[in-house]
Amino acid sequence: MSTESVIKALEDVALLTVLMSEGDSSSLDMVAEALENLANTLDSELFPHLAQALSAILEIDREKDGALFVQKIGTFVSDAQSSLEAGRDLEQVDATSEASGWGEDLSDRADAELIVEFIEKHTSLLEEFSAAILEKQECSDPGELDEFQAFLKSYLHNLKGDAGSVGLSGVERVTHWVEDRLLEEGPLALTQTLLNYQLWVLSVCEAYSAGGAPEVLAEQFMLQNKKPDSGVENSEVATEPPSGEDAEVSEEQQSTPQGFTPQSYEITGDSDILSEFLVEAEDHLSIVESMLLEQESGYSLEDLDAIFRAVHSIKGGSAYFSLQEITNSSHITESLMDKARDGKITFNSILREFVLEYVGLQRKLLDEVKIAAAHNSDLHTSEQIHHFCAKIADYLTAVDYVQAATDGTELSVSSPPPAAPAAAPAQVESNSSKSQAPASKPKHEDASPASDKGAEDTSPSASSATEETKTPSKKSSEKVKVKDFVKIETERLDHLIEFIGEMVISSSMLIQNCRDLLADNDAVLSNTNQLERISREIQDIGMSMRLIPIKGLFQKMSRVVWDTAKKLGKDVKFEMEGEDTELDRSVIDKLADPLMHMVRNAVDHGVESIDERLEAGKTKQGRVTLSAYHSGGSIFIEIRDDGKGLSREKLVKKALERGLITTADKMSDEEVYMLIFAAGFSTAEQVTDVSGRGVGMDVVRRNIESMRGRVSIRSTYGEGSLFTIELPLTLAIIEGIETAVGEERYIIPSLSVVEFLRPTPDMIMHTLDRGETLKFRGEFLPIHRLTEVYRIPEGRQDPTDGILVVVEFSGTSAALLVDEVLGKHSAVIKGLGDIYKDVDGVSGCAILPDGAIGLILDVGSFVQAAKTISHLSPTPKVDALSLLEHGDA
Amino acid sequence: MEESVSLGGKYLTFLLSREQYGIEILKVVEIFGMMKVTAVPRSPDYMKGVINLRGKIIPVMDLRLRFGLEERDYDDKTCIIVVSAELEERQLTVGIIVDTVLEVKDFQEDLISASPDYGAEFNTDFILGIGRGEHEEVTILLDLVQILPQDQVVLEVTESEAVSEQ
Repeated sequence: MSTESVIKALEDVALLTVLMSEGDSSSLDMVAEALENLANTLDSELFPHLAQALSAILEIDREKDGALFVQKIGTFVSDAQSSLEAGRDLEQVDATSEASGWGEDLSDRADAELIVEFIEKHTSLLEEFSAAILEKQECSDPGELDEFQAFLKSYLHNLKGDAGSVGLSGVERVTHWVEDRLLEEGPLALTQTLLNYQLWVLSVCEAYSAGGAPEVLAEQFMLQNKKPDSGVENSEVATEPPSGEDAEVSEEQQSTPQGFTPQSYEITGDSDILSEFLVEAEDHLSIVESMLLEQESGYSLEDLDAIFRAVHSIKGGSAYFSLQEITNSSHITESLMDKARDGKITFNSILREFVLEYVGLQRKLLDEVKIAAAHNSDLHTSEQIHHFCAKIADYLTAVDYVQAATDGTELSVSSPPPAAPAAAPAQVESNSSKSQAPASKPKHEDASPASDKGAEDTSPSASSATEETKTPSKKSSEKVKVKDFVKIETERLDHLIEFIGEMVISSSMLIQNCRDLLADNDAVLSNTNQLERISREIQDIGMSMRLIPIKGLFQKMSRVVWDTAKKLGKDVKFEMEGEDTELDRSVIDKLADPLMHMVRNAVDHGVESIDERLEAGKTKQGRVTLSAYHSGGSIFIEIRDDGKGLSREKLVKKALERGLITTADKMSDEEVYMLIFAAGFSTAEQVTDVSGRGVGMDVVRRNIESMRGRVSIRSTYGEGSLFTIELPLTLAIIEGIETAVGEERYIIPSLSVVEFLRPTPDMIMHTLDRGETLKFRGEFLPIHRLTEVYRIPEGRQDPTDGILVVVEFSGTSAALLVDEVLGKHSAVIKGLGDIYKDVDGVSGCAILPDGAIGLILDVGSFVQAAKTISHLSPTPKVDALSLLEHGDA
Repeated sequence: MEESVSLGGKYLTFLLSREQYGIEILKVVEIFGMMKVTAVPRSPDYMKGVINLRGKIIPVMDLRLRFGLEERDYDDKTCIIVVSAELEERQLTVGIIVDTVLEVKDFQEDLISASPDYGAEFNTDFILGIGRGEHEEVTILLDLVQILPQDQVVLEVTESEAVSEQ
């Protein structure tokens, strides 16, 4: 027994439930018959629960207890549909039929590649989306809110379209639902739902990209997030629809326009563009009209798509000029076409008439607009448009209603929604708006209990509509900078950049040769200058291709702040500055983890609880600010909070307890603060699930240092802390000092260099326990000889002959002895290859302008290695692996 | 060693000390004279360092030292043969320093005999076979993959040295 046939039987039941009414015994009999049919089809072993529920329903005495019967069936149908969906997943039946699409089946149209593209595009956009929601949470400026709502609307709309086009019908449905609610409730009331929505879409995306099915299905999501009071309104609707769909249906009904009073509105925007719009709109209308007239039926998906697009374009353009009537009527027609396009309703003669009527009305409206624009007068809303909108809205309500029950079965004219028994058939059958005006009136009166409330926020001609239509116009004029993008695999990009690096090196070698050999040839000189300039520019462009704004990362952090604050019951506002600062992609990737730790810490340890804040005379709301900026070849990222700040005493006490230090007498505040980065250090009074285990900051520091970056802390107790991360602009290029040691060249990263000096003999001290030291600004720094640590022959041994490079890393300083300092370079970093891995103190190499290879010194690990080696004999035994003697080596 | 694969084919032969060696020509990328090698610290002495081959960094190995032969000064006959071989799905490109490059020789399958068995004491894995020439001169055909350093070659600072000191 296949689940498919059960689903089919269930659909029959669902269809009939739409028509049944408790008073009409013949309709109840029909349902009962269908139920029995279903009971026969249903495999009671596979669905014991459903079979049981079904027989319970059949036992109800329909004559006496009609209401209970109707109600039970409603519950049963929705239960059954979701369980069957699950069952079908188990059977792994390729569920392509949209008719039973309660689940997230990828229909035939869903192309895996398209979905991947969808995921790629929307993962980051959704992050932005939620960041915007969090940002605007406390916004009270109505103008800004309108703009915000317009942003959300346009994004949701976009996403809906994209989801539809790749076949993610569940996402599409939910998005549509969210859109409706957004219009109705406004963005602020919807924060939680929108955030849930973002997470849900991401989870669906993830599930699909992993090849599985989402955990939470579309309908479940809508149920979980439904408007709290929707059930109350529902009770006013005459016939009870199947449970679970209350929210949707009642909302749809609210959006039915009620009553009509003519209103005037004005055209906004540039008149030149307006005339362009009018011409375009005419074109669109003619295309639609000719399509519809040429063919009476059998429209292909492409045709429907074309109509949809035309209507959509008109809607978009009209919104820009605040032509609300066009916008409203187009919007509703667009919704209609959207459903037709998705196969939810058949594009039959009724729809064809609707669209033709739409075309006629638009022509009329466009003429009116032309006249109004010429005379600079206002436009007036007309009853005709109002009725048109109302008619389609009713039709859509009917469609939705049937869909709610059967979800996706084709709508036939003979199944009008019970909620609009009188109006709907009349509207559906007649095309002239005049003739059905009286027909729709009684319906409005019937539904008046619900309509009073619904009228003010949903009537499309009311003031809310003008607000909505204005905002996009503002938006679109501000955000005209549309950029074109080409997607490139990062691997190819890296390849290109690698070659650019090589080209730059070769050209600089060539230029050097030319200058040496042909110094008196003017043409050569000017051409080499030109070449030099161009190659430098190419290098800059190459590097910039890897750069992306840090915005995305910051936006992720806004979520971290919100989540952490919520978990800890704190009130924290997140702000960001300089989010357009660009960083190398690889830096951003590596920065994500440490930054998240630090931001979490700022909320957890930095910002106090609400009570503590009020006690300290601060505002209730804490603040965490992330900022990014460039300065001197580095990028700085700051995490600032206005919390309690770091306490020197507490830190010192803890460090002494943990044995990290023996005394803090001579330590500067900064040095004390840096203790929090030590392994095993945690000041949190108790370990929470957010932080406090003392691993985080240790890892943070290591991650940042692995990027050749550093962290510093400033803090004022009671006022807040400022963590600054300094990072190189890119991981591909190093700014370094080229030094010579014997015949070798070593590059010391500029970031680590404090000073160079040629010491005088009295600056060198010999101590028994620490070997040779340099007296430098009142401190004694250990001297490490590169020649000794790396056994380089011919290097200078006496510090007074060479140059001491004072380096600083992770708060410790040392002096490195080199022969000479040759210059400063920015060089492309290259690895030493697979064979040389993890050489102590060497992080890679770079090709110097003269073609020689310089090894890049990793100061931190070099000093570590030097400490171990400096005690050892100068020529430790090195095993020459001889295959002939001992092959196992 | 791949038993089934035919060993016959062209080999680049070179001299190391007094012996002739051969490597499969298909694995040779390039041959050039000795150039400046940048020493990489903390590595075994047969790993001479890295060279800049038109912008690419290539590690270089002294085959004499790799085989435990006596070190010898480089002269104008010393060559670096850049070879490329696949090792555990990675393409390794390494330069090997040899005394002199001789010629490309064609060894038919029947001219190659299996590597001699010296017993367990001697590792002969790196020998593909022995090629016999027209005048019965012997060429040791090398299995590149066995010659290349198998793991990272960097020496651990801490353990052996530190222990021996204390």
